[in-house]
Amino acid sequence: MTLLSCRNLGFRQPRGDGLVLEGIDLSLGKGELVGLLGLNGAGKSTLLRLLMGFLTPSVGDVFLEGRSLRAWSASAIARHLAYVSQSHVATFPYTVRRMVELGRVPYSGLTGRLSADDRLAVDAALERMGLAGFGDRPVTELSGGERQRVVLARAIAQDAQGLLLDEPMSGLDYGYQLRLMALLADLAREGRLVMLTSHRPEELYVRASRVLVLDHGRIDADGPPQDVVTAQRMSALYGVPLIQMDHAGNRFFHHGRDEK
Amino acid sequence: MAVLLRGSVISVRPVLIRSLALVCVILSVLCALCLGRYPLSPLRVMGVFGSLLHLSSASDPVAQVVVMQARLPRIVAALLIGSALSCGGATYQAVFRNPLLSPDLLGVLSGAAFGAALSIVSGGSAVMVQMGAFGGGLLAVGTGLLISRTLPGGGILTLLLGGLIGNAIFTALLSLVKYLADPMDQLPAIVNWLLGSLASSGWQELAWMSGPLIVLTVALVLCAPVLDVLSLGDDEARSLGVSVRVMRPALIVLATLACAMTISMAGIIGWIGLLVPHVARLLAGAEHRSMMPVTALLGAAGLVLADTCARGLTTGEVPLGIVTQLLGALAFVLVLRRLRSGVA
Repeated sequence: MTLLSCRNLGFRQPRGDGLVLEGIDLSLGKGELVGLLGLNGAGKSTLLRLLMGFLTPSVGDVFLEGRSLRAWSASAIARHLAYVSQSHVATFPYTVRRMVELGRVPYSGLTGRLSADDRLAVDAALERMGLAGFGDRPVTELSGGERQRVVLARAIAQDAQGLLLDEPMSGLDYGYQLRLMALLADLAREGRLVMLTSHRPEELYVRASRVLVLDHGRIDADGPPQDVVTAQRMSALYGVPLIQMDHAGNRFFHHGRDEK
Repeated sequence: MAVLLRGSVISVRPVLIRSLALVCVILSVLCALCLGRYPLSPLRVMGVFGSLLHLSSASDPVAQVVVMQARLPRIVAALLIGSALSCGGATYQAVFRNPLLSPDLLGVLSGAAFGAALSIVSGGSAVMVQMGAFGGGLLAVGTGLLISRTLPGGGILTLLLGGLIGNAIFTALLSLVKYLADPMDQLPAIVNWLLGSLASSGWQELAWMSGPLIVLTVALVLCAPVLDVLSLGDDEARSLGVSVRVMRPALIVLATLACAMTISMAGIIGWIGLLVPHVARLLAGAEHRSMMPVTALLGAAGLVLADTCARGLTTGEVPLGIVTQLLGALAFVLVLRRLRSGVA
């Protein structure tokens, strides 16, 4: 069932000339784990921010459950879509619990008072991210990986059907990256739409149910990872010759020899 | 520390910290009432209030004049200004996501100083100087915000740059007014005003200033939970359903109005808005819902004590701005040492 879609979506920077994104048509369903590949500056983050409603499209429109995002209130969108941004700078030493509690703002409002349901959701999110014993720790004292878990716990506490993550693996060690992808796959299996931007095609090949390639502001490829994450396409995208090896359900790439 | 009450967990610690902060306020007021060039014993001070409330028949006219006319209006003004400046500072720090900011970030101080200096040079009355300061402060912030709207980019950085430029313009205008002022009487008056003082605080001024200032401070304290969300960053706040476009300017306007009012009442009082939120965070934690009431109380107590020092340290009166600068800078060293040693 489609949760989020867009039709002929385009975006122009406020003072820019051309369109950064152009003619994007997408239909994203619940239960999908969608990976978004593209070069730096291809417009991946812009697309995510348009789908979240942070940016207003210059052309076309975004639809949540079939209704234009413009018709939704900000808190109603927040009850349907959660977002994890690329960088999280902890300015103030809030406790881990408070950070996760903020995920309940779309339900509790800005009074800061939590209901019994809110507390249950917060406890469950902390438990799920392995942060049950961290509740009273200040986030400023956590490592980058632990902080990323706190931000994800907040998104899980938000109890949204769609979860959009902007390069969630950047800055994480290898173990955290693998655990994160497994968690995102679990969240999708539970019926959520999970969409992430990534620079790791091999990880998307294993975990994603669908991979999009964004090139020069347009969707260049859209399909199951077996069809999209290929040596030919990745070589063309990243501009380096790649050789593909398939082994036990995994696909690996290594740098081929440059043709001279 | 927590107790179970009707199935919900209520933490005892915030209540304890708030109570302690309230005790600080009461003690500081008591000190300020008793200390000064004409020291009064706590019993004589109590006697004044007793006779005012018709609880005792004994009269002490000297003590009554000292308490009711000289000290109490200053104390009330210090309580209001201290809490407003501290809450304004905490709000600016959260909205701009920078714990080293004070409420004069967007040029309210330079604008207010320019407005006051202009009123002094044009021979305006004390009320005119106050209005000049208030109007100048808002004009400077408005100019900064307008400039930021013409810059590309948007967001916090653009806002800061606009504020920086507005600040520079009004600092230059202030220098121009100082340059043109009569060096015999107008220039000293401007310098004195800039140093900040509560010496001219009276009941009449408080009668019309206290209402709006209390409303602004209470509004800032009530907005505390919003600050937690805004301090996460624009996209995070939006993803939690909070309208950054509405809430951020609204909070900046509230904090700036409060700050401009304090400047018009007492001139420029530095450091309170920067320091007190840090102390409150050390004691009550970073969560704004817990720290804002403590910030308001400690700001009130701090300024009452600073003003008591200002009028009690020497036979003359040291300008309050100098006292807060000195004490604030020293106290900030202690706060930073605690922060850096990982206590908070």
